[in-house]
Amino acid sequence: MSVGSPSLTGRSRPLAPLVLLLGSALCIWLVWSDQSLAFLFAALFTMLLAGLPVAIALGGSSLLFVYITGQVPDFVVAHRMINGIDSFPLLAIPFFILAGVLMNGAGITHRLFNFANALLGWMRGGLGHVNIGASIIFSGMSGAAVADAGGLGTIEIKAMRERGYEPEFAVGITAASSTIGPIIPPSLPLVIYGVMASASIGQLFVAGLIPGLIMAVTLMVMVGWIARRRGYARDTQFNLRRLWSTFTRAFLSLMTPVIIVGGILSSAFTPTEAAIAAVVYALFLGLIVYRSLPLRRLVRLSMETIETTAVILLVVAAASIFSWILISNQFTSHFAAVLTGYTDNPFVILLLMTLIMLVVGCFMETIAAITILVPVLLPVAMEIGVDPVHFGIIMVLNLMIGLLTPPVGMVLYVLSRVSGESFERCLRGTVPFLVPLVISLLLVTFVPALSMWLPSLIYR
Amino acid sequence: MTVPASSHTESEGLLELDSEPPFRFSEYGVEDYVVLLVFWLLAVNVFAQFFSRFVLGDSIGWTEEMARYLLIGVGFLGGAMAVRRNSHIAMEFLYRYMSLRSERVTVAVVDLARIWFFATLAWLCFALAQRTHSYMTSVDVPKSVIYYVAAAGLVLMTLRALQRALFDWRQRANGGVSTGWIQAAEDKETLR
Repeated sequence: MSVGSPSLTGRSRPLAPLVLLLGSALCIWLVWSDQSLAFLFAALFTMLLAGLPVAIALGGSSLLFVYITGQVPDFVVAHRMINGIDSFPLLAIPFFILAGVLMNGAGITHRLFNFANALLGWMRGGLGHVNIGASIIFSGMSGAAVADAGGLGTIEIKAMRERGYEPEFAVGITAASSTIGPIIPPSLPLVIYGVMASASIGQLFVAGLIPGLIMAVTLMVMVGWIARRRGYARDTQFNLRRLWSTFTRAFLSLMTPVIIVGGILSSAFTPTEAAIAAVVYALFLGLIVYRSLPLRRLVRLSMETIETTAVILLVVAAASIFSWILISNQFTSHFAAVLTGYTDNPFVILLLMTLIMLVVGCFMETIAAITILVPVLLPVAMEIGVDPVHFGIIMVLNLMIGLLTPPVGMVLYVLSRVSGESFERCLRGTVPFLVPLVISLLLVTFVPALSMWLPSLIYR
Repeated sequence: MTVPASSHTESEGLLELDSEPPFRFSEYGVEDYVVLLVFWLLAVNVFAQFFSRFVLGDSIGWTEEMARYLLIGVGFLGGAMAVRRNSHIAMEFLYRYMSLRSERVTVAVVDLARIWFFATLAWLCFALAQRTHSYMTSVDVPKSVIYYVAAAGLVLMTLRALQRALFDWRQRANGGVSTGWIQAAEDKETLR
């Protein structure tokens, strides 16, 4: 597979343009033969493949659909899009992003890493375990895997290289452990899922806690196994005094996940409130305690947050017109009927949906994938008796695995950039860690209690 | 793999505060500073709501509605920054399997489609605003303001997309090596 090698040669490569031409021809034929829903999908995928931004592919195909069918006046598209992001839960998005970049920008990540190192570094394959441990703590304050990989990952890979670990191993475990971030609360993908599926975001957050820890445990087993097989030495001795000194240095930073996760678990905070509390706390640490946030840095971090937020919001806005068309044309109920008519074994259907989500996750960015998959798959899942909250965890976990696979493995691209290793090498290092992640996925998918037990305790 | 036990890197020095380039106002477009203002208004607004609920025990009524509207503002006005810096989420992997010439053609078509979409949607938002006569629930402001702001954001996105397309086109005319979005993401620095 020639992934990662851009075509700079003048060689003729007819396949890709042919795909686009065929897609366009299909669209025209579908319009001509009056199959407007099929046209909607054909147009969407042709636009996506051509490299149009996801928001435009979703909104553009919907807009064309509205013009062709004439079902509704065209300004309804604008109305649906704006109403799609007129939602209070979405407010959690900018503030969780801001909290994450402030934590990274204020140097909080370093303190966390040092603490995790003192806590877990004495084990065989020490820094591998440290990597996972730091990811767990960091995932309690950040909601995106890419933030985890880009911020914490840089420190982790550097430290692992200095200790002489193979770069593949370092990148692999960093990539795999960064996917824990969006499963353990807070989580941007779960907020988007909750908004699209009208599910309680608080419940989704609580439901993700145990699956996230399961992922960590299976990854640690894998690290332990690799370390034993390759005969890694122990990096350091366990040292209580050092543990204490790193703990006191990291203490104020460690309070962040306590505030967020604790606040949500005790249902004192709504997710949005937890997000703003995290921002205020991060500002307090950065501006007053550590004094590591000069104004110029604050402006840059705010701009970064605005940019990411706007990108996500536009995808959600465009997806809401798309899913509105699907629902108002009874596509979703038809699709559910077809799939459940094919086989009524819920086990098979769930496996089939997992396969669909994995494939989509390989080709699409998480947030965009959620906005398309929820209206299509959620009705099927509910038909076979899967709770929307449980399904949310399943979906996000599936899509996280997609972040580690080509052709659109965002985390691998980020790590390849920060580590300077080639994409292929990063991929080779990550492959072994897909095994524990897939095992966690199967556990979480087929044992609903793992996700649903905690929310059932808290939200009665 | 044998490492001295005491070599835990105290890495506070790694913050690289000093290596951070000094701030230049021209780093961002004028519209970006407008969104910056809207964004921090939103943050203060949400904090006020949070504070009033927890400390004063009763949340200020209009903050919730206002927060939602400010968020729409951040989304549509901030979209222009994302267009300028080419950071909208897109799948580019098919370009790797293309010859340079077909890549150029595709990119040109994509640019045109992008401009068409933003311009059409801007017009639709404007049409929507003209038809909206209701008022916001908690404050005495016409609801059409939101739609005008969204339309303004889309006009900005159209202009930035146009600028982007012209820039790429000129690069190509000057015999730039590779165009396309992958390259465009790299030379976004030049466009600031």
